[in-house]
Amino acid sequence: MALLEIDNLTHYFGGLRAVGDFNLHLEEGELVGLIGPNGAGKTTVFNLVTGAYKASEGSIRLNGAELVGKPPYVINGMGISRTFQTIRLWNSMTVLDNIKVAHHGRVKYNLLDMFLVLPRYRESEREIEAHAMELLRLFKLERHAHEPARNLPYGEQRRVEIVRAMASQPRLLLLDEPAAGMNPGEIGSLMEFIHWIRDEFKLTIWLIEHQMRLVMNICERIKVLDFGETIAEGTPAEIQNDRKVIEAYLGEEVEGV
Amino acid sequence: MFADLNLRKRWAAVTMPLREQLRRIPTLSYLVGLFAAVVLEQAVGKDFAQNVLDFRRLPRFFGIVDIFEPFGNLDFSGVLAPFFPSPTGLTQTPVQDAGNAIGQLVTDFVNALFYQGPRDPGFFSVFLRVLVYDVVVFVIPTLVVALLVGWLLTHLLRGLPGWLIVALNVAALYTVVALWGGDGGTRELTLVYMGINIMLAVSLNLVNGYMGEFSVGHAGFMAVGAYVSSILTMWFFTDTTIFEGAPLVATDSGVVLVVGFVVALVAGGVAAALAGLLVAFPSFRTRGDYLAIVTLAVNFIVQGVLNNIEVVGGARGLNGVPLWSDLQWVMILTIISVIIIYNLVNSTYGKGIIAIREDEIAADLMGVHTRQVKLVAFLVSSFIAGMAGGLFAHALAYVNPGMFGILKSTEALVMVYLGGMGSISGSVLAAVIFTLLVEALRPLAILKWVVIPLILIFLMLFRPQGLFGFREIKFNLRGGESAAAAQEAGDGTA
Ligand SMILES: Nc1ncnc2c1ncn2[C@@H]1O[C@H](COP(=O)(O)OP(=O)(O)O)[C@@H](O)[C@H]1O
Ligand SMILES: [Mg+2]
Repeated sequence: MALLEIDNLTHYFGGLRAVGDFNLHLEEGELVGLIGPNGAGKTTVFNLVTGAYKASEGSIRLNGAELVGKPPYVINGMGISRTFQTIRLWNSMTVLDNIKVAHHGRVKYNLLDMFLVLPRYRESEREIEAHAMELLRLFKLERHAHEPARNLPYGEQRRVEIVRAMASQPRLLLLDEPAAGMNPGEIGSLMEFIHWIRDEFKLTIWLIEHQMRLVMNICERIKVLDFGETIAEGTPAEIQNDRKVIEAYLGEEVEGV
Repeated sequence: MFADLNLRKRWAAVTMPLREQLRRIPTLSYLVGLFAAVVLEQAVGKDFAQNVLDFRRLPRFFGIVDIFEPFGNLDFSGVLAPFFPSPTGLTQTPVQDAGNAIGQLVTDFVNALFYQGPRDPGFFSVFLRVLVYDVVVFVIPTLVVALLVGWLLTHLLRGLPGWLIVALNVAALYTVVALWGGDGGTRELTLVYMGINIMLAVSLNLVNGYMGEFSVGHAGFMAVGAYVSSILTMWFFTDTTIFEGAPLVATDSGVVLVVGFVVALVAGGVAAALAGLLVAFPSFRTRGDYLAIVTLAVNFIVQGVLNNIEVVGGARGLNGVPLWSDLQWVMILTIISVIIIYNLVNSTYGKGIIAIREDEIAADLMGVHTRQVKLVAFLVSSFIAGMAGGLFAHALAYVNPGMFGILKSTEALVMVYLGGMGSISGSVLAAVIFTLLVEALRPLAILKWVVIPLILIFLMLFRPQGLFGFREIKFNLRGGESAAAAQEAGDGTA
């Protein structure tokens, strides 16, 4: 059984068919790309998988368990985590607190424990803080731990968002345009970084990206959307030579090629 | 100009070692100092005030209340009254009468500033003598004793666990306030209002400051708590014509009364929390302006319902609520409320509330059970408001729906915005200032409600973040390194 199975996923915004008949099976440990022109429906697919939107039709299963209809926090707890196309950190909170709050699913105390600062509360808080600091150290962000998230440079904020996504110990990580706003040098290190995450945490990664250099270099499999419909699917080499894909991107500015 | 600058620099340089010393001693030393000052006031305060400073009685609330008293004689009604009189009341034309009244007002105002007669000193005279009194009786003794015990306390506190130090400080604060304010008179009543205001401000800040919603109907929850607890205590413990005459429990046993009051207050809090559901559920679907309207509606619904239930007195309300909210009760519940909110917003769970304010969608997607968190925030907030309402009713000995209208809700808002959003210490400080302001401006009668909103307008213009927006007052609980220095060192190594 595949880790994630998406069958006949369709979503309408009013009359607009934003995603139509989307199918994808992700195997454990894969690194898969989702590309397509602006407005093709890529982010919408992520929003459907993570529960931000409820799919109009179709099925999404994680290890066989249906996700459609489940609230986002439950899906997050089941092992799917993500980053956002535009950074959505909790700006006024410190970097450490950003990571800690993403541990919400691991909170092991009730209100009374908390109000009275009972041992169970202290134990759980210690555990969460230790795990959060450990993550920050792994990602070399510990020196920013006590700074408000908004004070960090753009590139660092993107990294913090990835760390925050890792806090819930996901099996599947969704990255929505991780290279947006980065220069070629930064994109190079981002590619290494993504590989490193997958190997270090034994994750499955599914990413949306406009930067063709990144997608073609690191993805094992690529899916191409246009106007919500899948127009191609295959290895990077196959996609690069696909006529439909070239047509879809014609006239659109293709960054990074 | 330059000389002035130099003097200021010199003064700063000369006082530098002293200020550094004051920064290094632990907070507890100040509380011990205050304790000494309070004892000093009880011993010689009255003598000093009456014989040396020529006060008629002990200055009230550090003299803050006395300062504005000279303005109490001003008659503003004379200015507008001639335009709406019974014609026989006029001596000349309305304009001339009003002119005379204005002239009189100016004369009275100048007299109020300087001198009104041997028994009625002017503002400046009172102000200067109050200043002398406060400095001699409170400031100097507090600082001297604080410095004397500071070094010792720094050593005594070393190695003690953090919670014990906090407990010691809370106990010391409790003792000082109880000793200074437990007079069974105006001091005590003002402190009782102060504690209730702290509970209101801190609980409203949870929703408006930490969660970023805009609740404008906090008094509605207060009303529910006030009524439910009053009904229970009246029914069980007092003679009342409303609830079947004789008390259900006729007892003088202190324990029974204490337990009864606790149960009544908690029941009031729980009822208020249930009313909080009326806001919590809509908050799952809507926020911002729309939720603000919901909170306003809930305030009106509560008032409307109470106005129309004859059993609880309708618009007249309930009279004969037992006078049980003394300083001790209020202090204990205030401290508990502040601790509850503090622990909530400093826990990983409670920081989910702040995450909802900053970006609710991200919170949802990163694993925060946002509905549950919102529910908890609204329930805790309205529970504490309900308890505050219960204390309020038992401090005044009566309740009626009119007390819990939009004006009361606005008072809570004023305190939250004065203190600063998302700041517990700010809200506490603001509630203290606000309560004192209301007391101090009492001589101005209705004009108070011109002055207080004006203060709010100036605050919004010149310090929109409030006194402590999104920051907390830092206490140097352990002593030694000053709090600021410790903070810097902490940042440096982080
Ligand atoms: N919440 C929404 N309501 C209505 N239309 C939406 C919403 N989100 C996205 N859309 C529309 O759906 C289409 C796909 O958007 P999106 O998934 O963001 O594209 P992509 O990420 O591929 O650039 C676009 O036409 C967009 O305008
Ligand atoms: Mg997108």
